[in-house]
Amino acid sequence: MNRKGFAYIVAVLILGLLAFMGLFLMQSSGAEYSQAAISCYATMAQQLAEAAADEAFILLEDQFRDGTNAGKKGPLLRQASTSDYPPAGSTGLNPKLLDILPDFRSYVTQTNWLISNHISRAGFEIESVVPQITDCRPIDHRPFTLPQCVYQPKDRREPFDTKLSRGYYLSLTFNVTIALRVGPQKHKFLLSTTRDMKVVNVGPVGRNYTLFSCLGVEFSSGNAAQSDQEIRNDMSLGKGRLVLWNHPFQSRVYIHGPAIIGVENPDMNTQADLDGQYLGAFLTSSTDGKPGPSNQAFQYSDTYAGLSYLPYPARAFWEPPDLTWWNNQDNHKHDMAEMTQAEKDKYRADTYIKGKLPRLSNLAWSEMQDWLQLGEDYVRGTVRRQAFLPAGPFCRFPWRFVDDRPASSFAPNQKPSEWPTTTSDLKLEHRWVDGDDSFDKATKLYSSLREFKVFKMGTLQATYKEGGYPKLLNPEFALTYGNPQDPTGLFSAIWSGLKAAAGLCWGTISTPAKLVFTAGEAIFRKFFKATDPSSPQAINDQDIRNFFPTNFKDFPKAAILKMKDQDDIPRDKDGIWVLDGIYWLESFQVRQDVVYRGKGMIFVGDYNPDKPFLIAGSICAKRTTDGKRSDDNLTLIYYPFVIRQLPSGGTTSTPAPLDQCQMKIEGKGHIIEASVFSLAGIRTDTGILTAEDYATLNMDPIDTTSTWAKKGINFQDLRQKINTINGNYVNYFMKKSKLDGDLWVFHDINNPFYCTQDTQQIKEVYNETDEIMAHTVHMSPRVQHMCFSGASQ
Amino acid sequence: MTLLVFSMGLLPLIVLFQTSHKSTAKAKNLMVAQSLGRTMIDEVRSMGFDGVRANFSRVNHGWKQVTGSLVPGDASSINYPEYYGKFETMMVADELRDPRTDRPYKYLVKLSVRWQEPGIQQEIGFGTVMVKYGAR
Repeated sequence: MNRKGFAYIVAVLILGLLAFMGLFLMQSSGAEYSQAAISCYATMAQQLAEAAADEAFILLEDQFRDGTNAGKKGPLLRQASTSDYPPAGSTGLNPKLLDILPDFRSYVTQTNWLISNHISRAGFEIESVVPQITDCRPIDHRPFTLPQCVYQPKDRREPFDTKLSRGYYLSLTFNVTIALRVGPQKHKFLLSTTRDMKVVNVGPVGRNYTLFSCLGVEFSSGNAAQSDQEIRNDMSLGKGRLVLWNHPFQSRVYIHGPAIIGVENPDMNTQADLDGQYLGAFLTSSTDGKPGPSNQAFQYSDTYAGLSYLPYPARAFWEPPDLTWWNNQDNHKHDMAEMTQAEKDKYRADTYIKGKLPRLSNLAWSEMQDWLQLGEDYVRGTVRRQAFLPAGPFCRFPWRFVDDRPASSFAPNQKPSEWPTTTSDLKLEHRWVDGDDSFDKATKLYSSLREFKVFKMGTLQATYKEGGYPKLLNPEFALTYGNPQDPTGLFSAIWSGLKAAAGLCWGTISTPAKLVFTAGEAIFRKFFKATDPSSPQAINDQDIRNFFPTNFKDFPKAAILKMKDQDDIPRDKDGIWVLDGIYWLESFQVRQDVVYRGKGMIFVGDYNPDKPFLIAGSICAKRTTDGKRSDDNLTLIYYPFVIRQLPSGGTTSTPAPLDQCQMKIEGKGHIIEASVFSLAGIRTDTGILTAEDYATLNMDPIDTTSTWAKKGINFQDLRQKINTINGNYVNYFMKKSKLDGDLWVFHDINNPFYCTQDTQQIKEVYNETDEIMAHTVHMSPRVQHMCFSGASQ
Repeated sequence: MTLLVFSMGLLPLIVLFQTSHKSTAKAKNLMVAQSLGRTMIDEVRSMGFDGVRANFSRVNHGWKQVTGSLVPGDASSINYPEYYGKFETMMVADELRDPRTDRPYKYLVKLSVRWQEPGIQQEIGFGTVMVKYGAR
């Protein structure tokens, strides 16, 4: 059979077909490999881009955390301060930040190392690592941070805080471009990744104030009788004293009234008073007519006599001038030359040394005769032991004087050029609202005094019991500092002053006080609902104008880390707490001394009766190598809620019971170097300073303050006997009755958050350097958004 | 004669098919390596800085055959396919300290994957950098 070479043709065809198939397979497998390689390179590129972005985020965070001139915290804060709340406010963006930030491609050293030394299979190159702010807003702490809601005293026309003081959140995006050169071709992979960043103010709350009590005593219980008792008694209850060690005439003290502060009567005979005898007008244990050293409410020495917490010079009986020639015909101690400049500024005269308290002695009626010539009326305090000493021991540390002059007489932010002499009243700051004097009238702080009228008939003397005597008076609480230069002249004005003050006493303002009850309830209710999104109408409530201390905020919103308890707080290798931002703890119980460094807040928002906020050890800032206070700072916030799980799975939160949720300081000798905020005050259980202690501590009341300084106050021993806050103390409710041990609050003049170190001046306002110091910056570890593109090219 | 011609024509085609097969195998190996590289680096990244620190000894390992359970510790986990047994991995995490604080702040994580192909050992590198966010 002749097929004329057909087999060859078939063979060639088959070979051709096979060749085609082979070539197709070849091409297909080659393309497959190329695709696999590109896919692999895309994976590598993504990993490199993620690594570069992470490195860059940390570098950027470091730059934003750097508060020096070389760092970017200042520019960031300045830029953020131009942003405002949505929807109307600006985002304050300078979107790419290219004027202050570099392209980070040369700075991601480890990623570059990976490319050069480890991922050497392809020609990778980082083309750019560029940051961009994609959002910037103030953290919405309204209403706490609204200018009209942050308290501003009468002597200031501008708030303490500026927009730089606010906290901010930002969205930061890094756009990373990775180039891959394969042969002549260049592929580009793009990674865009976004993280949140918070800029948080962790400075003290109410830094200008040694004590800031937002609502004072609890007058908002809804029970008028109970509220009335709280107003009258809370500030005088508790076995311990609350003592404020102010930077004289610079530290401020604020208490929202109404409240009555019982003024000390060192010789009060409780049983006799209970019997209605009121012998306290005469009894005294002192043999020289001066208050004994156990009476810490008296401004007492051989130069200063009498009770200072009276709104006029009636704190002692001033003997008439001694006209004996050898005594130079006056009763002044010629001590101006010995005074320090600060004392000269305060007193501006030789001190008058003859003030006395009246005393009963069968041998001393001639002395009674002296003062009975000057008047029959006489006032004493009503409590045996004053439980609140806002001017420190023996009134040596008066608070900043805030004049009550009308606002029109002030130039903006003017400080008093002279120490107050025209009025002897250093009143405590209390609530006021510009343009609405009802707040001012209804929130004053009052003293509790008794006015006695005495008579003498021959050798018989007694107090009047008729005509309402001894009368209970509630004039406004104030401090009279130093001796009056002309006590006998002033004496004649005492009673007109007293009677004018008595016209403003508690009993006559009961009606506006009731209004305050209502307002207080509203404030209370709305305050706690302010963070509840279901009641946004609370945000603009007008009743909370001029109400909150500086840097008070919605702490959960600003928190950086949430932790179970104090054991989770980061520590360095020496066991020192590392503070950085706001740590939100479920509970806080310190049972031993701890040291911290860094800047931060510790916030507890849960109320757990089994695990109360407890301090049973000292909490102190780390000292520099030369032993000085650094700018490390801690703010403790206890703002407890009862949180309950609902069957639906949600939660409800209600304020903790105010009589039980105090911050507890257990034992004595604990030093808390912090700004302390506690919703319902502090509970102490021991540590009461005795009269004898003062002498051993070199704080003998007979000595002047400058003598104390010369001798050297033994602060170490002092602090072992009591509990101290070295910083400032802020509360929502005083709950003074819970203090059963002395609590001394030192406005910390060694801490740059409160005081300028070189001039020893309390910082009224923070400048930009201070704000930079007070803010911490935190990059979130969570990725908010990420996209990768280029692999499909 | 025809068979002779056909066979001679078939020889280069066999080489062609073999080359294609090798190329396909290479692509497959590369995909497996990529899969391992992606999975292992992702796993390390998901640990975060503190996770790497806590599992430092587990993260660091010398050449190790890819075999056994896909999820260690999970009894119900599937095993790596047998094919993966020809791959080995090595991971090294270098701890880097912040020069200012002398505290660890970065991990440079290097992953190498290698496998044997006819006549040659292939190796490919993956890597990432883990950084410390938060309090430092």
